Amino acid sequence: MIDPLYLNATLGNFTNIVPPLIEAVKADDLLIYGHPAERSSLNTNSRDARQFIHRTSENIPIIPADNSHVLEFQYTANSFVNSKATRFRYRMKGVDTEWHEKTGERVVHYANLRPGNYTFELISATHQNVWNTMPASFSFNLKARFWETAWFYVFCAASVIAVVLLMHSFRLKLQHRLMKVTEQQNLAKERARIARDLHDDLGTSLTGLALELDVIARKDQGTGATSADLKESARKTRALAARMRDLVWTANPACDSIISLADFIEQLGDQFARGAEMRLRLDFPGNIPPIQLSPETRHQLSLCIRESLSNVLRHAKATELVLRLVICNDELIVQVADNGLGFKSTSKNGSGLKNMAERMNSIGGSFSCEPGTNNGTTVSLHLPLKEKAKSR
Amino acid sequence: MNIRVAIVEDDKSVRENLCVLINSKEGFSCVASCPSTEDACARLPQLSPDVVLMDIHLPGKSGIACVTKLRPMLPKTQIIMLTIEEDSEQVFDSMKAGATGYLVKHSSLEEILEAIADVHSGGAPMSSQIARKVVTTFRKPIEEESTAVKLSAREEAVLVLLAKGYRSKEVAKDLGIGLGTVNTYIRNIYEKLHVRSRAEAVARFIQR
Repeated sequence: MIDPLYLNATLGNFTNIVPPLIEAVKADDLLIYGHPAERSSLNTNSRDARQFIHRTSENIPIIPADNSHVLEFQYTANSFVNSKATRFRYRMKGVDTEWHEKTGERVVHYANLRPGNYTFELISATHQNVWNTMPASFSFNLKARFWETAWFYVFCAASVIAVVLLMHSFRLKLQHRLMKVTEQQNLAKERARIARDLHDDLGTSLTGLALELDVIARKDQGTGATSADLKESARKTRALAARMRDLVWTANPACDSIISLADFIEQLGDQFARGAEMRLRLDFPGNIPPIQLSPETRHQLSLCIRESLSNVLRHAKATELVLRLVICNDELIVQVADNGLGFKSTSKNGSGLKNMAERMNSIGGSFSCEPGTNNGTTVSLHLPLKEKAKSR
Repeated sequence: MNIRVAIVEDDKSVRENLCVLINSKEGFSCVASCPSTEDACARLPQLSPDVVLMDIHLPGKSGIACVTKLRPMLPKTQIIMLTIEEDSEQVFDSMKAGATGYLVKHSSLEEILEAIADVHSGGAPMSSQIARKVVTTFRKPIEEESTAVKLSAREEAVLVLLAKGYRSKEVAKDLGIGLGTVNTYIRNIYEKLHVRSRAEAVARFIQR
């Protein structure tokens, strides 16, 4: 008696109708069921389902979810008898287990649907309770909002992990830096202590000893030989004290600067020039910047300078010694120049020069030994300062 | 007339042996040997020695503090600092406090006596590092008018040569003046340095 209704996407042909025919279903203003030509019966703003709805690979339309979390279905049925009394039953497969019934109002809302595949089914009946046997069925895929997608969860998880890892590595780095600073401070403290001990105890004791030897030598005026021996011992003791001073200078963290290096070079030059009765000329910048030098750098530089000075003393027969300190273009240059015989490479001094080159290489610098502008020899020690400034 | 020397040094062996040696040399007499700043400040003003040998590193109040205290009480006394390592910073501070020379402790006795005699007879040693520091100090702009002590052109010329490593004799030859004149210049420079740094200290104190 009741004709089955053919409800499919290509609606259009149907014969006599007892139950009303579902004409169109709209989900969130998108015509999802029905013919676009009939959209006027619902809402003039409806978009063309075929045109606007994306489809999954199984050809299921995808409904984009909006932020309101509410999916609205509007529907209408074609009834020629008492359309106001047309009854509808709907159910959403996957959400509803039973049919829900609505009369009159032709809109249904679904809130908080999880993204996924659903099928919305709708049947209608006349007021005489004659129901469609074939529901108007619409399968759709509710598109996940971006924060509901799997990749978003993965992204969040990855972000959390990344943040945790970053914080951890940052903490490790900080800890490492702190440890390094503490270590350096401890090292500096230790060096200062050693310097102080050497200075206060040994240095002063050696000076005391030298003076004591002088006193004994003076009391022992009678026997000239012993007196001379004692004087020699006093001299040796003073030489020891002088070596001690160099050691203290290398060890003392308060001397880790170019200013202190300049002091050291001047004293050393003065000592050598005085001994050989040479004129000493110093060419130092008027204002030496407070640039730090590591103890290793100072140590190697001081040894090279000492070696250069001894070479001048032994080989050059010079009358003038020039010590130059230049700081330019992030480079420290120390020059030891003499006006002596000039430089002749022999196997003996060759090894000394090689040693100096190696020393300078070990601290990232370079060494050169060239004939001076007015005869004599000029030894140049070059040290780049840029890395030093960075590591500070 | 002997040069009357006082020693301020905490190490007993250095202090006593130095005293014995100075006494044993003709023309020198050791009038006091003090182990500390406190002792020196208590005894030296009455003794008024010609020359004081002062250790920079004294336990408690340093030798520099001791110079600052003694200097106004002993205007005619020359103070020579004794150091183990020649730290130009500390030596310079001593000069500002009023010292007129320094010696490395392990200098030979002859060098020590020579330095004492030199300073006593009006000599004024100045190393090139110190000369450079003095030049820099006087070229700094002056904040307070009261500290406006300036170097004369001649004094500056002496300083420039000293900074280049010239010894006093070489400076005299180069400038065509006598050694005594050079020494006078250097003495004046020391005095100006002292006056200026004292004025600066006062200015700092007032500003606070």
